[in-house]
Amino acid sequence: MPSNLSQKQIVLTGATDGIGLATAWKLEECGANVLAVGRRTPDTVALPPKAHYLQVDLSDADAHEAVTRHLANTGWTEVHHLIHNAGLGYVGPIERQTADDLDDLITVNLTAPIALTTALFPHLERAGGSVCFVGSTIANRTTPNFAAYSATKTALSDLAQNLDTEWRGKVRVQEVNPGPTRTNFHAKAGFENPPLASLFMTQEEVADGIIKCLETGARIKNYGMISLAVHAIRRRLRRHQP
Amino acid sequence: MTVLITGAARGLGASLAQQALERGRTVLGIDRDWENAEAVSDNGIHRITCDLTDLAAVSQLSEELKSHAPFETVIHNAAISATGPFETIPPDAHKRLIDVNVKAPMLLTQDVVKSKMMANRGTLVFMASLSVAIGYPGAASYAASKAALANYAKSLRRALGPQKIAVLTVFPGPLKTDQAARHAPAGADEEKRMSPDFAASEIWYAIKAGKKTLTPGVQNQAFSTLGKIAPGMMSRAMRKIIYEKLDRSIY
Repeated sequence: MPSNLSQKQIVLTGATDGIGLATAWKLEECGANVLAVGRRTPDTVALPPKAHYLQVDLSDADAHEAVTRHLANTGWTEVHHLIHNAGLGYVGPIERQTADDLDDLITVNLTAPIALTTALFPHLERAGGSVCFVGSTIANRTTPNFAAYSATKTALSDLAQNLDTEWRGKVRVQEVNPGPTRTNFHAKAGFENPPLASLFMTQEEVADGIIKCLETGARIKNYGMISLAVHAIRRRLRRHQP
Repeated sequence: MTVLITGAARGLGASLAQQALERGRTVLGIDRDWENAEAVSDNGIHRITCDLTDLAAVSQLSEELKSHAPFETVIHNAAISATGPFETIPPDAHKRLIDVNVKAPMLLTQDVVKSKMMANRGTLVFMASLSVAIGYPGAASYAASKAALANYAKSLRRALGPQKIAVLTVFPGPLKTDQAARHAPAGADEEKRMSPDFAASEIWYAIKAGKKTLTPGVQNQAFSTLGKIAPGMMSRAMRKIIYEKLDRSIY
């Protein structure tokens, strides 16, 4: 069955690594037109061949303007899906994080998606599209070593809920909340060798979840303990196939 | 003993400061301007002028704060709002809101903990909002900022337990303050809102009693419970009660 994402115009942040990069490739397989937004220089990114790339640092206060400018230049007046995937992590006691790190974390994880959602609302409304927040199952939990990170993900989930109430019938609001995933996110966040890493989902599995969420228009997709276990068993079974 | 209160010049912050003075505490107040300060008599309160949207200024507060430490209580009360349909509020206004409501309290907390400014068995107080339990369409970024604080406070409570620092999260409903009036939907009845003096006395009681969370007011507690049991119904109701009655965007 051909994907209903074919020919759709999609803006994806944090597209140069991990879940974002895997999602960019899967979107291209579905025939979607992707504007990939990332921090890295273009020659260091292995994006799918047809994707547009916009190098923007989402910790810059005017990052959302760079995206709208780019859309204007490429003639995209409609955006069918805006996927907020970019995120920074930090693990450790709050007093060990530097003030600048904390500042960047909140900007990239919370301020930037809010600003970009506001800026792209007209494009999304014209398309009757959706905004999809990639959150985390850590949202709303008590997490002494991820206090600021978890706070930003809780805020995104709360934002999604209120936007869904505000925008009924205009723009769909979606959330994909992965559990721990095998990306280099943990290492970047300062978490070496997390326990039970073999149970973590792969970035491809999470990317599949994002695609499915977009295709079905689901409000929310959580990957809790049960999904983790199901995916781990599936992986194990696949490994034993000849 | 000294208490530190942000947003102490007006509204709930002024009530909290006034009651702290009445209880014989030394009050260190932070606000962006003190010209129209309410209630607070000049004697007793040490006024610091700092705009919490200016994060560079926030990090420069450290030395001054240290000279007043240790703090028995630190109340993160300062907040701004932005009401109206989400997309009508400019990105810059959302950004200022996240700076004041989320970044400033987190940066101050980090500094206070790092520099060991809390007194033994001191309390950190975070002002979240009833919106965390019942939703707030028409102030989505404000509600998000309060959800961030509530969750941060919950994590912090466990993280700082071993250092004998307590954390209280407050979920106030609508208050009878100038700020609330400015952001209220059309036709809202001001008399139905809680007086900031009452909320402040509940907060001081909760601090003394070592409570972890506080939703001041029986009616607000009932709403909060309802919001947790039936969030879908509550968000539809909030859309009718607030969102559809907003006649302007204020930020």
